[in-house]
Amino acid sequence: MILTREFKLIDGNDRKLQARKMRENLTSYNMDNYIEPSFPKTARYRSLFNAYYITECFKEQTKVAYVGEVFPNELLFAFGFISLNFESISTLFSQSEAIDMCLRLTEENYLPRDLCSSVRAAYGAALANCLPRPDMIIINNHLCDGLSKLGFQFSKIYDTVYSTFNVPLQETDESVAYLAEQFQHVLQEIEQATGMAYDDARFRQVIALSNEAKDYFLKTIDIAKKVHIPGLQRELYEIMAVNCWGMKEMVKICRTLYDETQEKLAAGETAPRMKRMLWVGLAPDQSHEMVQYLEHKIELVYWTTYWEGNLMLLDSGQTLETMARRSISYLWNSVRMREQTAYVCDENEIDCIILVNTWGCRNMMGLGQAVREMALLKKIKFLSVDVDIRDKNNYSFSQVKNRIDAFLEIL
Amino acid sequence: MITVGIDIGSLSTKSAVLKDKQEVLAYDVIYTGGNNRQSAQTTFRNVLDKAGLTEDQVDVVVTTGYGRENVPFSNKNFSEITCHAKGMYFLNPEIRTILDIGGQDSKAIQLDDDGNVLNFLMNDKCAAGCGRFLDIIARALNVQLEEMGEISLASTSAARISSMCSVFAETEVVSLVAVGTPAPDIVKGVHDSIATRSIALLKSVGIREPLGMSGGVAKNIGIINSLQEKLKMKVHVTDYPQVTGAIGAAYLG
Repeated sequence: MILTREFKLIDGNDRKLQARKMRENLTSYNMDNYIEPSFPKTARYRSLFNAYYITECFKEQTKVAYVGEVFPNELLFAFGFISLNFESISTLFSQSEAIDMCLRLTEENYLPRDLCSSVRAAYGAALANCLPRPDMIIINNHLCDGLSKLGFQFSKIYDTVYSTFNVPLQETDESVAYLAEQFQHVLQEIEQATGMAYDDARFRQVIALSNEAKDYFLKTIDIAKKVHIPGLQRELYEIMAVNCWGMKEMVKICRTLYDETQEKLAAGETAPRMKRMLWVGLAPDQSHEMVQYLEHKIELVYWTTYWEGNLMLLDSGQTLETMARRSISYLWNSVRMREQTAYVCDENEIDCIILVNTWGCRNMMGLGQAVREMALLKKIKFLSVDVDIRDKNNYSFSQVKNRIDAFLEIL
Repeated sequence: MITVGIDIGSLSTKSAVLKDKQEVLAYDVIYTGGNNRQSAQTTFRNVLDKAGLTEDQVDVVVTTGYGRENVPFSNKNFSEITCHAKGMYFLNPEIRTILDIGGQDSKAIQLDDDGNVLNFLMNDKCAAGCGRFLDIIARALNVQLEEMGEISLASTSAARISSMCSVFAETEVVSLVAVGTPAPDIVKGVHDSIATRSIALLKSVGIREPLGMSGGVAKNIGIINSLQEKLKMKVHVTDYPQVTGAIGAAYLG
């Protein structure tokens, strides 16, 4: 038994213990599949920042919040919080053999294998008690209801504050106002939970940092759309996955990538144009066999990098409203899926699309048809594969490779 | 020019010899077993014996199927999607959509006028509705796999078989036997179940007529009947359904 009847961790809720357990479990990174980074300065800053971030999370005085993907982290950074999202936790563990331990723990504790492995992996890490005790959990109750329920369960496990908000599916003035109002309410909940007062000057500083980082990011994206620089699309995706817009280190990382890209352009370190494949759906880290296989044969463009909700700048005059607009546009619905994927295809001159259905993700599976129809209309070759980027028990590379090979032959 | 195609599938390994990409000189089918490299070697020798040729007379060997990259004497390899397309184009150039049911996967392939693949879909996650499914059911009913087509023709009322899982379907069949359901009705139910799954795959990729079927399962008249009844269109089967992929590989040589 790992949890008490009241859902509490039996071996305690202490960050020192949790840090030790994290060190014990995260021992075997997939070094065999390590790839030399194409943008070494950026990758170094990014890695250092990630390491710093994780280390800080386990310090007793650090305020840690667990959030869902669409929550504007800037609100938390303004209070000096560190935010962790469940998907990133799963990605971290899936880069090591510890992922098997996490998933095994969930099965031993009655979670079915059919549940999305991003949710299961994060839950398994909590059951292994190697995550830092959160001070607060803030999560949207929609679209991913699995994540929402996981957040609630975490609040019981760690005996912490649980705050939820509802993100409307459609963007209208009313829905934006409705969500902005909820963010206002979340701010009050953070104040209550921490005893800290909202500091408007600090908030504005965070917003400025968020926009500054994104500005460099957008400028780099503009280059990536036009020129093939090996490794650039991947680095853009990795930075998007860091998702700490509003922290000063993000500015440094994004500026470094922009500078390195300019240096490569000046040195003529571009490559002939390859066929461009748009990866739609959750993407694994670079050590994953599927990514490595594809990146040898084609230029992979990650849909997440170009998704409108990830790229919007915040209006300092109407910050909560633009945050709300950003969160709404982040969500998938069939119309948005079609329109935005079409836009990304046009902007990047995409030759083909691979739709990666993660086992157990009903959202992606339900929306795949919208992408397929768009691809048909635009006469873009389309491949849909069912994979599990975390749980190797739910996926066989040889099966997927067979489909990919056939698809590449068509191209 | 002599080209040999070898299709190493999950259940069986097939080979074919083409002369000048115009004439099928010989073909061979064996069980793959646990060593697909060995099975490729064996069928290669078999098919050359049948064609009356020696290895020295072979210009190109092309492999396909799951084991395609594991054959040391292969000159090149292609996925079975491409090979089934080319094989069907060689055997019947009129065909514009192919349904191929193999041992562990089903494929719906749409072709252009030159036998190039326009689009394809394969089953994912589960082998229900594939050759292995029929294999399991045949064993559960204690009949020969090759007899299933004929047996189903005697059916008066097809049993309902879920298409959830090959292994669970065996349990279903055992239960139907236990309550006295006649074997032809059970077999017909199995064929209908496979046809239903296959049609969903075909409709997803889009059916352009004429429709052809390849793979060993195409030799099963019961499956062909079920497909034709449900689709209300003719399903064309060539003289060499089981070796279509191998012929396509040889054609690409």
